[in-house]
Amino acid sequence: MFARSLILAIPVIALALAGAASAEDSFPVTITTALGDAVIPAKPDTGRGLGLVGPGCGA
Amino acid sequence: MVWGWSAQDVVLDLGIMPVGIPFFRYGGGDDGILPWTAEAIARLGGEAPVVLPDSAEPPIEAIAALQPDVIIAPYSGLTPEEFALLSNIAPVVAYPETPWFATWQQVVDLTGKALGLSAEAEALKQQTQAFMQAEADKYPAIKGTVFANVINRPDGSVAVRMEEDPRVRLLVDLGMKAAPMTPGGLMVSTGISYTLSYETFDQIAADMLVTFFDNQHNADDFFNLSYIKLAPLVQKHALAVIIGEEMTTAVGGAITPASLRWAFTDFIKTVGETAAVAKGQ
Repeated sequence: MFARSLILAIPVIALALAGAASAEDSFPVTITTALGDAVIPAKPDTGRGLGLVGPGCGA
Repeated sequence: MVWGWSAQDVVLDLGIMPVGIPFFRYGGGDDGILPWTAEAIARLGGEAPVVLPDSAEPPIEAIAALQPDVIIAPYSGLTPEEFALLSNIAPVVAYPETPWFATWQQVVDLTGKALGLSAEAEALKQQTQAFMQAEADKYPAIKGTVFANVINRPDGSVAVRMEEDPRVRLLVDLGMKAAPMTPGGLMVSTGISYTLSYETFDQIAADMLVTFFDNQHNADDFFNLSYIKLAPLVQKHALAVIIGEEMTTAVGGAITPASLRWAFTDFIKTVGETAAVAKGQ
């Protein structure tokens, strides 16, 4: 279990490093899907602190 | 928030707590949360996501109440009507081409793009692929081994997943080969698998089978069926039998980087050792 815990912990560390070096994606972004486009006007965590957590849910 | 399979794990891996996640009846236990998802939520900390009501259709009112910024559902079966309804709440990232047809890599790519974290998503993908390859390299017998991914059905038949199925792609990407369609098989409407009667089970043209069962009892019952136990692959014990709802979901259902970290080491060991048996090694 200890080894599994280590494996599970690795992404957080590695992605934190990757994030530190990456450039911000630009918004709005359009994602084309089979059912239609998703036009996302701004980075979803803008101004919300906990990303996708919305009002009334602890944000 | 996320809907469908898989995206919740990617959002969490990218360091963001989703506001809402679907209830996983299969493998999610009483609280509907898959074990590796629960670990990721605990590791990230903060306000845990709302687990949506257990339903096949998206609970529109419950989703609207969460006021999400975006609804990420690349591995789902959203209908055009559901997509339209949800789009009134927030932008919806649906599946690229076909319902229930997105590889874990596509889920990572689309989720990263939706969150403005494409570089982090790419890093997650590379890291996961490297992990899987390192584990698979321990079992060289899998290279070129032809397998059939088979699920028992309650109607006297089995479902055999086709090469295009993301759950089959998992092993094809590592050098295994998907078995060709068996004569007499009937394609299902989704186009990702076909059904085969027990009577023709022995006609599957593969070196080995990869099968999934909820528990050992169900596996024993299946392999004791008269048509099944006499099949050459069963006689040869060329069977990678994966037991348990969690394992089945992790590597045979809603595959994600997190589920793979949780289950892939054990899974590829079973597959690799079975491939060696199949090749007489």
